[in-house]
Amino acid sequence: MARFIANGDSSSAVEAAKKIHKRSKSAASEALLVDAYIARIAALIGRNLEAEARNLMERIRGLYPSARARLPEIKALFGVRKGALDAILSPLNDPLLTEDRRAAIYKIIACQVSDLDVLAECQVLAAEHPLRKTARDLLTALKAVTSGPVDDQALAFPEISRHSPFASWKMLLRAIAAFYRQDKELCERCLTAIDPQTAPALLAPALRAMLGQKQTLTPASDLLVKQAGGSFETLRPRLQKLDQLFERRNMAQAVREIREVIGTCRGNCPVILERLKQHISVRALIAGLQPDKLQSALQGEVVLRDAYFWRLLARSSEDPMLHPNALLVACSFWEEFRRHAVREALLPAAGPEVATLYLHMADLVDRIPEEERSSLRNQFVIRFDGHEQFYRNQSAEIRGVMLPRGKIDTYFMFPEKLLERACQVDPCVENFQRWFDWTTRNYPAISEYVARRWSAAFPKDVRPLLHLMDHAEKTNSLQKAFDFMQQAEFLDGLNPQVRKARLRLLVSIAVRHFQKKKARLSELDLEALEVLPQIEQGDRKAFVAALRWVSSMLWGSQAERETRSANVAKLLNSEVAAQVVLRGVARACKLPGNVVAPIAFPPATKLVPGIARACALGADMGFQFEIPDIAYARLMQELSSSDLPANLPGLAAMGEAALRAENWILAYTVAGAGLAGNPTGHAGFLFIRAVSLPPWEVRRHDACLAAASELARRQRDHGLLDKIGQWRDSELDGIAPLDAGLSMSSEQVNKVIEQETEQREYPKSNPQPSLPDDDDGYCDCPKCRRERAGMPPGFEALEAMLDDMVDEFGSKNIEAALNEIFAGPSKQKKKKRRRGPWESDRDIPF
Amino acid sequence: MPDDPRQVLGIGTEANDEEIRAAYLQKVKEFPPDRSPAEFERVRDAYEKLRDPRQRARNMLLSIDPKQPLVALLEGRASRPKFIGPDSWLAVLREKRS
Repeated sequence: MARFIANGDSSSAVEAAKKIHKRSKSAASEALLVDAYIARIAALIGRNLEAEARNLMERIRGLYPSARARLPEIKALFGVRKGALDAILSPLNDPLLTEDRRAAIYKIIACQVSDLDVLAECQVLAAEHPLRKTARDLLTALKAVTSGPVDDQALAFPEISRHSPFASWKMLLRAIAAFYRQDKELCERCLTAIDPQTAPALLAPALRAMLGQKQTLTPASDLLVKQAGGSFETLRPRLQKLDQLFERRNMAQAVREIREVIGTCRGNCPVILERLKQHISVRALIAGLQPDKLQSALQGEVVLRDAYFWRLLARSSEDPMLHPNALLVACSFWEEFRRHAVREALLPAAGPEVATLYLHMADLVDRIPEEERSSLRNQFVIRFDGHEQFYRNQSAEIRGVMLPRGKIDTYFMFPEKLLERACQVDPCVENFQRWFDWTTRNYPAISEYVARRWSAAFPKDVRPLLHLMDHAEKTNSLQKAFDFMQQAEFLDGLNPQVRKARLRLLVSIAVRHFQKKKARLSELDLEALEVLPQIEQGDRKAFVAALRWVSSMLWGSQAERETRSANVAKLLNSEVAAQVVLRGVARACKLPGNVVAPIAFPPATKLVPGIARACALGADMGFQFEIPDIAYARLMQELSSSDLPANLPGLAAMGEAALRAENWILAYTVAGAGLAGNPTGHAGFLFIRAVSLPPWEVRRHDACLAAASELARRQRDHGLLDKIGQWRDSELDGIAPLDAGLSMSSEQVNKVIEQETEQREYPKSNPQPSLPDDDDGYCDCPKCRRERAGMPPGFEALEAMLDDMVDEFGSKNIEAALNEIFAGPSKQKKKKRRRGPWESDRDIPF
Repeated sequence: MPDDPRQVLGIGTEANDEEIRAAYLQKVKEFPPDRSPAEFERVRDAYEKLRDPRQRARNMLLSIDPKQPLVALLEGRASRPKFIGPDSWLAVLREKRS
């Protein structure tokens, strides 16, 4: 029972004592029970349940006669909380006091005495009594630890043991010291060591709250947290209010609140003052607060324009909702950031980090529409002063980073310059590839320069050499291209692109030598071609044989010509294909038209396989063979039959040849035949079908092109994707249809293929007669307008489109959208839109 | 949502190579792979992301949000305690008595 009381479990103590007394019914057991009840009364008083404690006191006084003798002791318990300690402490002067009574008194001191001052001044004990002396020492230590830093030695208290009534006070002092040292872990450990039933435990919630834990606080604890916990608790609500004012763009109140926030921050949390001023100034700029008003709100406080500020400002200008000019402004801020970051050693002057910044700036400039870029740059340059206004009142160090007017460099407006700088500071393959890709897309004329720079930085990289070779080939500098190819071959002879390039270039050089009638050189070229291993693939041997035939046509005998011509037919295993190849090669080598015999196809032979094979060979060797005019009718007839040719790549090449010859009907038919074949070629045939359709068949055209794109994307056919992109560029002036970016499902693609395969006949529809711009072709008389039910012209054609939209977006969404469209303007009064910053080019902040 | 690698390693946005490596080694000691494999994996992933200076620079450039609530400036900062003397502390102890 004594253990229960010592542990503060008075309920268990009372239960145990009741059982003992029930069995014994002796005076000793009654005394034991009264002891337990007294402990219970003390516990109730400790929990602020004074009324319950009094009731219990009255009950035991009536039940147990021995309790009456201890009434003064019980009453003294009520006095302890009011600071009347004499009654409870006086027994300590009795030298015959039992250990149990002493322990009970100590327990009461530990749990009830929260005012050490009263204990220290208690006159009932001698001035040198250990209790009074320790209370005085603890009080002095509490004053010290809450008034400034203290040594651990001052809080050692070796005289206070674990069983002392002051053990929790010792732990409390150490917890407070740890809190002020911001040693959260130690503070928490000390708090855990405090007995929760003792008086010092009252301070635990406040300390825990100041450590950042969520606690329920009494008013006094709350006040303590606000006073000692610093800083954040006062500042936080003010910051929240200012956030709301910025959000609502209530600038008048925001100006007042900024003053308050700055003052509070300076007093409570000076460590974030600079950052706060920077954030406020940028937020104010975003919200459109005039600089003079901001300055007034800051009460003359100077906002530090360091790297952090410029980074903040740059990011705020990247908002896609702002005027495109803001992107140039953002780049100019990033440039300021770069210089400050280098000064602050946040970034090195060169290296991948700075390159990343340049690349980011290049991305930003690329976001400006191409057609606006030039004019925006011109406007920007005229007004740009190097952000002079931001440097006013700044320290000499900060001003030292500012560029004087004469030295302002606006390189940041040009992606090519930014990309070049990125390659300079971080010469890696990815950066060069990016620079090259950008110039190829935007300024092809300088792509060769970029490839040279790339090759100079990475002499062992084949890719720039291949780019240089392609460029030289395109500009007809075949020998130069050949030299680059040889360099690439030296570095990576097994590269398939290099191997293919050697064959292609040798053929092109040979053809050029034939064009210039250079017999010896062309002979050397043919010999070189004949020993190439890649010539063994496909029908390539037949192409070289055709070149041999050209040689005999120029410098050989009739017998040679016939032999070589027959050799081509033999290699191609088709007289038809041989005639097309010979004619194509002759034209490429610029042989006079009259020296080549006119084409005459055998009447019983099928033309499609032969012509397809010839076209495929031409495409493989980089030449565009033509389909002879006399073959069209027979080709149409053969392609319309159900007997499909197996050579789909050849058929595709034939379709391309038909498109080049602008024979739309043949191309259309070839596409139809191809779509009926193996699915692997469907993407290419859909593209041929799209191009061959008459321009007024817009829906079919768009569907074919979208399906072709989708399939090419899935098959990673970059060549076809490029072709589709170029076609869109040429046809739509670079404007992709609205659905170009959307992907099609497999079902949608299959539906298009199915529909197009069924449509074997070339469309017989005619274009709509063109109308003047102001004439929609509909009668505007009242009767006709009534018949149209007020709908816009062409509305009836939207029915199919609406069905599609219902399939795609669901009927509810479409219904809601139509309701919104036709319900007329909303009756809600529109709020006047506040003008944001930089919504026009007049709003640039300098 | 993926973890912020800097938060995983417990470093600021402007930590350099050495600081990142030191933080990584510290975390590996805290979460060795044999005892905390999942946590170790997180730490390792975070370090891999931060090792690349380009990725790190990109994170640094874009991590700042000018529209973030101003209160966010207080996040991650320990509030500096103030020495106010014993009165307010004692007031909490006395509060129960009244």
